[in-house]
Amino acid sequence: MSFKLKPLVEKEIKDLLRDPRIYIGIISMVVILPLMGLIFQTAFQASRGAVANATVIVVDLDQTQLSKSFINFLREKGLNVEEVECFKAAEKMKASVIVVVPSGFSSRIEDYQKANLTVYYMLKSVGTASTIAYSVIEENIDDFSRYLSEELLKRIAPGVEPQVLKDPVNVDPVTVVKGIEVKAHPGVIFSSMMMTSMIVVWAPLFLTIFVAQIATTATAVENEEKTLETLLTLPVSRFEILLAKLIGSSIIALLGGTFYMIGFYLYMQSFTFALEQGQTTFLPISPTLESYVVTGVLSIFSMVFVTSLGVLIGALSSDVRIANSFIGYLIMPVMLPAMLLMFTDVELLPLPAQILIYALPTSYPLIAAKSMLLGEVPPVAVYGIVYSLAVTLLVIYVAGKLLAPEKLLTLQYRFMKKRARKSGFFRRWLR
Amino acid sequence: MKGEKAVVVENLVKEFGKVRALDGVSFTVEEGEVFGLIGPNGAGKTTTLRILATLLVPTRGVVKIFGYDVVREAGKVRKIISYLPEEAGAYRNLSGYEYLNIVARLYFESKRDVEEAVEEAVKISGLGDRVHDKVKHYSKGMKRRLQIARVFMVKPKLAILDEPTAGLDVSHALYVRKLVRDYAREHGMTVILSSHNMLEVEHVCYRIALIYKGVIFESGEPEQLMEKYGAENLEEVFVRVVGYVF
Repeated sequence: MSFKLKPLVEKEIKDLLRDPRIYIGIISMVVILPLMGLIFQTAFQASRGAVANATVIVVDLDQTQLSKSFINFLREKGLNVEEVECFKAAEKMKASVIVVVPSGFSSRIEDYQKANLTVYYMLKSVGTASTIAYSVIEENIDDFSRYLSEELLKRIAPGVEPQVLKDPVNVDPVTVVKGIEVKAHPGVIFSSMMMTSMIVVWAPLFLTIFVAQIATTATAVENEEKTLETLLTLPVSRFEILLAKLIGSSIIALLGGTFYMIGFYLYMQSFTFALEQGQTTFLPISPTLESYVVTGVLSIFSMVFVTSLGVLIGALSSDVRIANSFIGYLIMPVMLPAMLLMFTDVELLPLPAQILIYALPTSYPLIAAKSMLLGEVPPVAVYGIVYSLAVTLLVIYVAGKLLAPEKLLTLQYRFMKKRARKSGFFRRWLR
Repeated sequence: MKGEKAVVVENLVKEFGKVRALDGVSFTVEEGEVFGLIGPNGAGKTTTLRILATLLVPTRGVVKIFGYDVVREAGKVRKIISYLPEEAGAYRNLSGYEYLNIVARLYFESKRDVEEAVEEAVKISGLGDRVHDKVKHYSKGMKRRLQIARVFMVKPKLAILDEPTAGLDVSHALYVRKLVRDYAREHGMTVILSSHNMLEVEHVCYRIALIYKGVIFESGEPEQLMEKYGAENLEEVFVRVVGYVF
């Protein structure tokens, strides 16, 4: 690092980190995301509480031993069950669910016929709590139905395991990845990998967007605060100024990325209590060193690429507000391929979408990150290194060339003229 | 030093699209001289200074600073100049001290040189303890004093000052004028400044040039020009040379 680059980078970092527009954004990530998780957790626990306090009214019109066993079954499952004689009486009580056991319920079961239970869900709100309460009661009724089924099967075929009659074919799922067998359904593996894959794919994407915003703001502020004119007359090269902006913005973006990941991790932690047991089958494949290196290199190129574009946009904007509206146009083409890649593979997409994805250096870290989870380095990622490097160098060259007041003033003047012409057109049109 | 003159401007033309901002401007500035470009707003003063500061490229003509061409040897020019734009800003989230320190480190490699430069700048700015406050808390005048300190602390061979006293109160404006003359005399620094305040320039500059609509109409020592046109001050000289400007 030349002796001039250090103070320039220091200036970028200090000025950016002390800017409320930047540091509030960074800090909010470790606050807002866990807060969202906490809110969700609180809501979920409140729902559980609501389930515990939920009252089920059973209108037993059958009055048989079987209908009584049904009521006891629900009570044993921990539900508050109250028994009434008629539906009108049930309606007057504050119940979540009213179950009507019709007359003849028991005899139909005894005759091996389908028997009906009418369940009234008393809708009081559209919150999650009510939904959970209803599903818990529904599950218990289903359990009772299964219990009855097994009892009937025991009676019909004594000595035979009822489960064999109900479900005679057993499936043993084996997922094979790169020749390694895992005794689990792919869905189970995917869900256990969900957290890792989300972090791995989201991290480069988030960093890319964040670094673009920071670089744009950092440069637009120079215009807004009238510091660029002085900066460009100091004894430093345009390349050093650009490099300092790239380094400074990337450091802040990495810091923001770390905070985001901490916040995201805490946010995801609040969901873990809701995950069912037995979903902990992990794929016995870990990312290789090469896949880490390739993803890392592609991420760096992607960040440098968007930072250079951000510097260009910032330099061409007379203030931060204009720069931020321009950066929105830049983020869209970065976001769209990322969203597509998150849900599908490139090869499955239509040709125009494939061309768009391969044309953007920002897509390659995502492609590499997805393969990284399977310990692979796709050939396209290797070509991507060469392509991304070429495009990134081109953008740096253009940004360096344009970082001259002569060109900036001319371009800014042209943009202003275009805007003025547009607003004039709209004014005339509105008249 | 490659050339004898501090600044040589020959037949300088600058066009912005169809607008000709400078139309054959020529002048020279001697080493150690304080030279003033005076004229009303939009006369071409800032454009001339921006070309000298390597910010703009001339459409035609030659501009040399201590023998270095401002287009072909812009990097070398930037090492020996220090430029004060009319609307110069400092990084609002840095303190005045941090800003001066960062700029000094771009000019000097040794820690001692940096410290000396910053120490001098703190004195020049007259900001006292406020120099450690963030720039965003400074008044317009304080920001201007910080910028002037930034220009002088590196003791450039050529200081280019665009409206140096803009935004300063009377006493600080007087202080800056004294500073310009003192630095030129004591450090042999060449200064080229612009101003639309002709009375101010009269007291600071050894020589001046009257510029209007991108053309230099007259140049020379203020006293000689006043004598030549039988005027009591430079404002009267300007009116007699150019006429009333509306």
